[in-house]
Amino acid sequence: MEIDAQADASLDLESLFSGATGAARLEHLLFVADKFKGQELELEALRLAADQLAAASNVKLHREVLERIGGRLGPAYVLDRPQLEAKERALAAQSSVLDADLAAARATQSKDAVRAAHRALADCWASQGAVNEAMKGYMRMREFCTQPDHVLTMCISIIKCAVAMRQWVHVAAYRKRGESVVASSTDTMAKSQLAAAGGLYSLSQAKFEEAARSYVEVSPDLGSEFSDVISAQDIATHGAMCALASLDRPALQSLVIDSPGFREHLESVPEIRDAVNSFHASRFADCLRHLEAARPGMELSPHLAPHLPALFKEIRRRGLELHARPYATLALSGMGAALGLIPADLEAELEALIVGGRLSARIDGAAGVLRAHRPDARAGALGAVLAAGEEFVAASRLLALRASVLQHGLVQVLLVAVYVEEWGEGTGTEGGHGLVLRAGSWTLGMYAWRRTWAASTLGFNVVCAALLARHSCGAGAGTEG
Amino acid sequence: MEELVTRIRTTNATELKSILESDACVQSLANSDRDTLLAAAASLDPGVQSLGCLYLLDAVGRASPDTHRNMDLLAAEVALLENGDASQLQLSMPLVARLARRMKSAALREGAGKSALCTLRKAALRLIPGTKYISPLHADIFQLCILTKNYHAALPFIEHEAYDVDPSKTGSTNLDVLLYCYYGGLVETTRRRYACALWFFECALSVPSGVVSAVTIAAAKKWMLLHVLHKASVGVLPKSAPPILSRTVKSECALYLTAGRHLTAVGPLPDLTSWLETSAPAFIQDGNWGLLQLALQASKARAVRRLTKVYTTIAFEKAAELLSLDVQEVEPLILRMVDSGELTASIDQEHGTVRFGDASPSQVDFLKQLEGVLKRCMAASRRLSAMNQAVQLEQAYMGRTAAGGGAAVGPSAPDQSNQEERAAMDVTAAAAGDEAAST
Repeated sequence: MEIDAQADASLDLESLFSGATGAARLEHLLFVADKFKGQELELEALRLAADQLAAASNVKLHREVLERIGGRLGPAYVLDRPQLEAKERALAAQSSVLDADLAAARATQSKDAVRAAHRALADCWASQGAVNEAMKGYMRMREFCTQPDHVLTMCISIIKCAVAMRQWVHVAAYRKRGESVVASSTDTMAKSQLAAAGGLYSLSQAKFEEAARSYVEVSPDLGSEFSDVISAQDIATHGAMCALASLDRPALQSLVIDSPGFREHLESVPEIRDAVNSFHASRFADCLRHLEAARPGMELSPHLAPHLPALFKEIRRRGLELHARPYATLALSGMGAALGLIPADLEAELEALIVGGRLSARIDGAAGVLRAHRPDARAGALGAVLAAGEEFVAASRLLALRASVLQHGLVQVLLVAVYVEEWGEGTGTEGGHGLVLRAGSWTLGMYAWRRTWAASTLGFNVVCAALLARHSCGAGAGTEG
Repeated sequence: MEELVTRIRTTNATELKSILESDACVQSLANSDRDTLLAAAASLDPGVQSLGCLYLLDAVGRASPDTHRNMDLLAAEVALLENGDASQLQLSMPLVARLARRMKSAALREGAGKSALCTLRKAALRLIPGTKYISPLHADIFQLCILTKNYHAALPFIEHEAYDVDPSKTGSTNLDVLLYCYYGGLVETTRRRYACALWFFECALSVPSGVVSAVTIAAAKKWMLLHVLHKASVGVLPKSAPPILSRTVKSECALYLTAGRHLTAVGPLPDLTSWLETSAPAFIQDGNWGLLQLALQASKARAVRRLTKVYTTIAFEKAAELLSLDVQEVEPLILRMVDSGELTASIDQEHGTVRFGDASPSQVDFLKQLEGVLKRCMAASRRLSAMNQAVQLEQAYMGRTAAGGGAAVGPSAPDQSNQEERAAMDVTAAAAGDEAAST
């Protein structure tokens, strides 16, 4: 269920995105603006973005936002080119100064100084929206890092740029690198940042279980430290949705319900917290109801929105599976009511679960019940053994035949003769056979279906003789590997 | 000619073979007229002077255009094949294969296919040195079985599970191997033993070759349809298929790939009426229209079997909706499947429902089948072990492994590489003895 035009008026973007800062907040706002183009929410999102950009250094994006607003929000949001150009010149001057600082630092040959200069320059570019140049700048810091925390800072900076550019390969690589640095330390802040980045990466790849396991490692002490990448509310929402869709009951219990750290995250998103509690208490209809209530907000997340249909489907199916598991017989009407599904949808979901092997049951359409089904494991095993045996015999016979053909040199390489015979009567599954023989690049195309000797012309005889001579002179067999 | 006949009567078989294959004798036979040769052959006893008869009748056959063959020649060929001395005829199996093929063609023209089939069966059982060998006679027998619709006659030869193609013992060529696989597949398809038929066609695709023949393409088309019919999936060419075949199949069999995709689509059966109308001529021309119809029916049957995994009882209307059929078509479809043993179900006409049951085969049947399969697995395993041992004992192999791989053999020297491969793969008497012990 996507947000409709009527509902968007009730969405308070400012409070929804209050936990995000910097690039993350801008990304959310622009995502909303793109999603609700031509609607009231677009202007609200652009206004908030313009307000944020006015105090920031990303002149290019500020200009684009103001152009999109197009004067629809009054004189305060009109594009003032001279002001923006002046700001740009000031920022360019700042970059030049930092460049000069870098040159000076290189001259001193002090690793610390060079590293700090690289970092300052890269930070400047990042603040101006030149994320690609910023990432290159952070990467240049690598050879000047002398301490583990230097490496860690570099990794986290690169991860921030990579997330902004959606270069998930870099996110994964530098997360791994950062984790190897903090493995033996007690820096929970860094570990949480890396875990949150890992969660974003796994979510982007639709690996929900990995994403859930990453998000639950994020400590609540992270606070707003990483809010320019992902807010605390998003960590809770993403983690809970992925956990509901992928973790089995024991894992959900231990990693989410009984985890004090993640429970603290969940307190910031009450609807999601209630959904998780309902799911755990097997009140699946309530769980789905809470999730649907929270869905409009989740649709505004650029990271989560593309995966929402799959997540909801998976959560619904898990609910069905867990609901049906204890029963030998279960009335479909009651099941539909318990899960808030109409009968047609319920049967379709049950069919998908049964065919997918996740539910061992059968639907009794006449009685309107779902009956548990215990397959005959012994017969299945015996059947598998027979099939494996037949497969082995067939494969070994094929191997022996091929070996014999190769051993005796019966590998046709060239056109040797064209012999065609056709018998019109057949079984209905075949009728006659013809031969087309191709020799290297000579496609002679003698595809004849009538009883005939194809070597009927002198020219063709000459060609055949030449090819036969070539064959007998040892072009040989065995071009086939 | 009289001198030759006298020598045939007085010389032993081994010496006679070299005499008959000498240039002078070959020239003499080629220059003789048909009637003289036939008279000379008639003067010999096919059961005693079998080798001489063979060469003389072969010369008569080559001298006789197909339209001028007479019943005398046909009778002489049949007598030789049925009563000829096996030890003499086995000295020249390529000639026997050629003669048998001519006899088969002549018999079919005369409408005597069943008689030819009997003759060839007797000849194959007597002349082929072992059940492991594939000979040209197999392909002719299978073809006659198809044309005369006597499929049971092929059964003993299919059950032999032959795999050896020694030309010196059987006169086999690459084409004979392909035809053995192709016709064997056709026989098994008609007998509805689809797994076996798939094996035959897969063999035809896997036979090493540097060129693509129409037999291979025809086998590929049937293999694709059978794969859809039996395994409900679009087949992927075996890894052992020659690379040139992979490239050719995409262009030659594009229609069959499309058919496979249509018939194995997940979800409700699509409406293929218009596609069938446009594609029918191509399938009919290839002789695969019947197989396509079987594949279509199989896809419907598959959809019904999918229902049995989900439902114990289902109403006709619901089944029709899920199968994309009319309600009236559901009951006949289920009845047909129950009759053919594909489905265990009972129909409640009063309530308009079908109850599906689980087929539970008897344990005794399972154990018998298991015993049979295990025996065949052990025989196959022994065969492979013997081949492996023979390779490891070969001089060429030992020399190469001792030299640490030896000189690299590139694609410009196929002869040398193949000769070494042949030497390495030479099956010794140990393998032959083992096969004899297992049979």
